[in-house]
Amino acid sequence: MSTEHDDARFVVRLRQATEAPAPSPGFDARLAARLERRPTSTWWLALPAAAALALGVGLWRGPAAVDAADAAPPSVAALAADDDEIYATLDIESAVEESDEVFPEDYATLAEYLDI
Amino acid sequence: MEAVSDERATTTLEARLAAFVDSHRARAVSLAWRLVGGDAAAAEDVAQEAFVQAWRALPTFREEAKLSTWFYRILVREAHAWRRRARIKQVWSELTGGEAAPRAPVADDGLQRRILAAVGALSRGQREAFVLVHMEGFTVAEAAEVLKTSPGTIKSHLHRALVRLRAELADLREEGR
Repeated sequence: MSTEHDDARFVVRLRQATEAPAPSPGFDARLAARLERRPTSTWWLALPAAAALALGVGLWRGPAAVDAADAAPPSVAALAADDDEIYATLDIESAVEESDEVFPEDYATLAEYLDI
Repeated sequence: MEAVSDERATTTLEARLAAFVDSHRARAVSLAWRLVGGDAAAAEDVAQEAFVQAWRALPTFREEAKLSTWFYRILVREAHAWRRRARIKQVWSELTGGEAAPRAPVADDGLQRRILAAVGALSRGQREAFVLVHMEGFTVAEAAEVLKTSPGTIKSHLHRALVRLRAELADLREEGR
């Protein structure tokens, strides 16, 4: 028996032994609900309000507090605990652009630190 | 006039993507399931996230690739991101001696678990090429487009993946003879 034929049988065996389960009954409903929450293309209208809010928060906290917060590097523990939140803040466009990674810089640093 | 045309194009794309979601949901979950190592809940999360990302990014889709290629590229990246997050959680938990993150309830069949573990131990390129081509039936050319690499690289990944899997799962190969 040729090696190619042997390999083909081996691959078929692997494929058949790892048949994926069908989507669960609630999959469609959850997906539909998420797709309905898709932001419209007018998301940019919210930018001035967001900028004003950020400025307001900065002024309220005071420059010293803002500087101190900016100067303090995020702890690795905080990064690990907040990974979902960090991930959620990713720009969708950047996630599908040419970049090979979808991780923000902090996450990439953590991964590098952990040698992953 | 151009704006109307753009809007119409987006609407057409939305309709196409909606049809795509309908016809590709099972395949998307299947691909995600194999890429994340047999965790059904994670696979559904990854597939959903990929659909949502595609839906949101639709206005930026320039039709330079097929809709399916574009979508599966998003899904493969999302699966990779999931694996990486899971690995970070696991390593972090080991480093801190804390309670280990609950392991994903992967497929409980022994053979299935062995195969998925062996596939999961491949390098990223080998794993993604192997799953796309040998497990999900993509052609080498399609896989190359999804992974944004050359068909030659895909063939190289496939060859090396097969060499490693043959060694790792040698008993299965013998049984099949």
